Amino acid sequence: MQTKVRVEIENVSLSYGRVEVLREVSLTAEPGEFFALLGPSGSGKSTLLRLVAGFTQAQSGRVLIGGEDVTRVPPWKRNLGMVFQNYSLWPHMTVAENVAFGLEERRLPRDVIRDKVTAALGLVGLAEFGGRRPNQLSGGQQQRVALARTIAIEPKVLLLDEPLSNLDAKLRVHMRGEILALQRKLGITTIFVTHDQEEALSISDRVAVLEAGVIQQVGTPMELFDRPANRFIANFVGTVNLLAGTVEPAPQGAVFESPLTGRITLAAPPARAGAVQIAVRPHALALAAPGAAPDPARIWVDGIVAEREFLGEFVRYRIRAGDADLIADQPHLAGEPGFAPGNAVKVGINPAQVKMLGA
Amino acid sequence: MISRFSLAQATIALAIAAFLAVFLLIPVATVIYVAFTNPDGSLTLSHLFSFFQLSLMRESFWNSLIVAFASVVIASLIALPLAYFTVRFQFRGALLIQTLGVLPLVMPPFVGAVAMQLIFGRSGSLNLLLGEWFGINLPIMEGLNGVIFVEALHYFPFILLNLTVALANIDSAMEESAQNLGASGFRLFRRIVFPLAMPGYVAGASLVFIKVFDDLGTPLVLNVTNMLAPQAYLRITSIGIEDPVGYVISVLMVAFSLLALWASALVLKNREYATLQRGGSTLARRRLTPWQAVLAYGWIVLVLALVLAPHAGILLLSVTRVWSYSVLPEMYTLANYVTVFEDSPRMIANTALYAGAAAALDVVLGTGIAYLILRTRLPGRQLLDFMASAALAIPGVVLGIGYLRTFRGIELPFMGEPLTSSWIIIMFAYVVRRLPYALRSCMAALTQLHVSLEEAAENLGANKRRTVARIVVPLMAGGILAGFVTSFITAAVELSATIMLVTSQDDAPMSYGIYLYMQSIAGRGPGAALGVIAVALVALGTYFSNRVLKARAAELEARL
Repeated sequence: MQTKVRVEIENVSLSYGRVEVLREVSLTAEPGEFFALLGPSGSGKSTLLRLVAGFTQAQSGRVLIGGEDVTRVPPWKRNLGMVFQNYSLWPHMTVAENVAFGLEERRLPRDVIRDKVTAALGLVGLAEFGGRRPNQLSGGQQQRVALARTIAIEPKVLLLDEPLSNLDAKLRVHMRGEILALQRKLGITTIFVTHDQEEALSISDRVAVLEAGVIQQVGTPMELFDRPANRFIANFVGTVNLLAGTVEPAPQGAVFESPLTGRITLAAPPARAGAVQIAVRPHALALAAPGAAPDPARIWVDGIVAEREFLGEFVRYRIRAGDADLIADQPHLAGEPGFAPGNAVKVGINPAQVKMLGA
Repeated sequence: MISRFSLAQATIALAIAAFLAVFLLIPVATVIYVAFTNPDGSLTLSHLFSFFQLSLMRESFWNSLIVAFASVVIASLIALPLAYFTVRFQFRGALLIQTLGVLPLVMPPFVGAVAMQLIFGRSGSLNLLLGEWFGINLPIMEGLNGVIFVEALHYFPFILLNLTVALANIDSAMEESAQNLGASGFRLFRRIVFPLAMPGYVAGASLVFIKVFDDLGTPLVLNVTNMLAPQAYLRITSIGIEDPVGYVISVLMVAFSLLALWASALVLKNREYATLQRGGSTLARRRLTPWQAVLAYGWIVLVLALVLAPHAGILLLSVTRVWSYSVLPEMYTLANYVTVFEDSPRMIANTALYAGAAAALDVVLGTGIAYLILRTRLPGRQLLDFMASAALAIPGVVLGIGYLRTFRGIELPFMGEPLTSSWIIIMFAYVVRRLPYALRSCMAALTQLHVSLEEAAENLGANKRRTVARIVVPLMAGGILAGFVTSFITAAVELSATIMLVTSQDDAPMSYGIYLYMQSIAGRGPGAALGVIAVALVALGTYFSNRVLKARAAELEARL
């Protein structure tokens, strides 16, 4: 196998006419890392991946692979393996011919090609399918052929462009497990583009979140979830309640104040005093009946249940509190009726789970 | 910043542009130049004035316009009901109607014109019967009537096909909304259905206009010479290549063809009715009431009889010793075929060579242009498409005259033969004239290919050239083949440019042979026999390529 390489993107800017697709983007994927590019459609994540693959050219900036500047190297000389969203298997070739293509382009001897094709197909569990045509395979099998075709050339880096988006929900979860297992086995640096935050968080070592051509935050999945850098990240990665108010420094850290919540003492010192928003996840809110004795560690506010949505493992409530709507997730256990729309409830905010964001 | 295109791409684009310049732009420009200059090179309108001072020319001018417009009108009258039947009603005749669509491709009007005269002429089958039964004689084939009748019957399928596609793309919700708001019956058709299908109709109608304007063979075979195309031909061949009036005629012909194209583009502009919504359905098909069925089938049978008349007539004529002043021929023989095979096996070989080479070059050019336009960011690439498509508006006679004038005195290297008297010039005329057909096929094929199929190849180590060879061309093969066949069969029956450029019997293709035979009464039999052979070859080619294409389409379909 190839040695693991680092992928570095330095100050890349790209625009189509007046549309800025990427703005001063810098990123590093460490050797052997499973790195996800996460963002909504139009955020520039696919463009960034295609830039690494060499299919688009940036107006400025550099791309380094294993320390070597490849900015001006054409795609066919980069030796990177890309799996396309629609798999892009060639319909006029058999599965084995598809997998052999890259090896033939490298002018390898015939018997070497045969061995490598067999090995690659074996690796994805399709050893028996070499003689089939791509259109005789299921979606999941086509996906595996695309993977086999890519890893057969032993690329320096694996680039995956929304590889799971064409599969149904069950298969998607299964395939992402397989892809991760394959990546771990080969130890190959992998960059994975997706718009699905669950997908990105569940399998990546690190995630870069893009929005409007700008990197919003780079970090491990848990960092993104627990310490979102801004409102966009907080909203995009998981669901979040945002409350506006003001903050000022205090001996213990900071004091947040808003008409709804009153004063909340927070442990982290504020970046600056003044208007801010606080973010709190739905599952960090507790609900209690108006008469119940409240947990004194939480800040309690009064509200009315506006909607309830039963989601199996938990019930999602939308609660009208003052002029704010709060989303609260409560675990569901059999036999517990929960609260009905129209009921008055108390919502408990745990200050330790509150994250402060810029206004 | 890396340049947006490679040197190789630019070289190919320049080579194609150079070819189109030499064999299309410069000849046409030469024709226009000669029409508006004195021998000393100074600009003048005197040739134009002298054209309009000749009463024969004025007459030809109006006759050509009358014939073109009348042909469009009659073709529309035939095509409209047929198109409407197929999309509107549950109907068994759809396949028949589709078959009608390919007939003008496999047999050009001039081949059947003589047969039409024998059937519909003053002393043809129909009038003999009518005279016997009712004592009347219909002047169907008299003078311009004959040209209009033959052209309309041959070219109405262009309107039929375009209109059928346009009608089939109308979302039933469009019609249902109108019904919901109170429209029905003919008002519904006039106010909603026809306006929505208008772009298709206009595209077809302008094509018919251009085709009729271009056609030289039909008037010549029917002995109608007071039209523009025959006059251009006669002026140049009888008075000579220097006669400025021939060039003025050419300029007028180009102008009217361009006008027709421009008018249709104008009507179509901002009217891209992408009417069939995602998940929508086409117009609801109704069941025919018994009376409607009688009318619909009656109309179809009548049209079919008329359309098949030249084909049947030419077949009859080819096995006939003498056929005149009788409803059906009286003596049958195979001697005509023997004559043809003895006389002119060379013509068949010539047609295969010219049309084959031209079609091959067409698909090479077509693939190249399609690739440059759809896959590169080469500046000015749209110009190639524009130039290649403009060939559609250049009548064959004009191109022929342009070649004769532009290339006179130029000798072929190593052969010592003048280019203008070589078969190569005929072949190049075919290449240019049929390039628009091949280009459309190639563009359609490449448009359907997802770019990522090529990117996957590049990603795996294949450079642009290897990607084109291993991925693009194999996957475009169906479209390339379709383009080849269309170019081939239409080039095989091309006459307008052929007549201008054939200089010796040895170099003549079949289309010219048919025309020559048809000039004399005695030659009609062998001419018809040669026509039948041409139609049979073309039909066979179409059939086999259709089979290959269908298999290919099924294979590609399955992957999507």
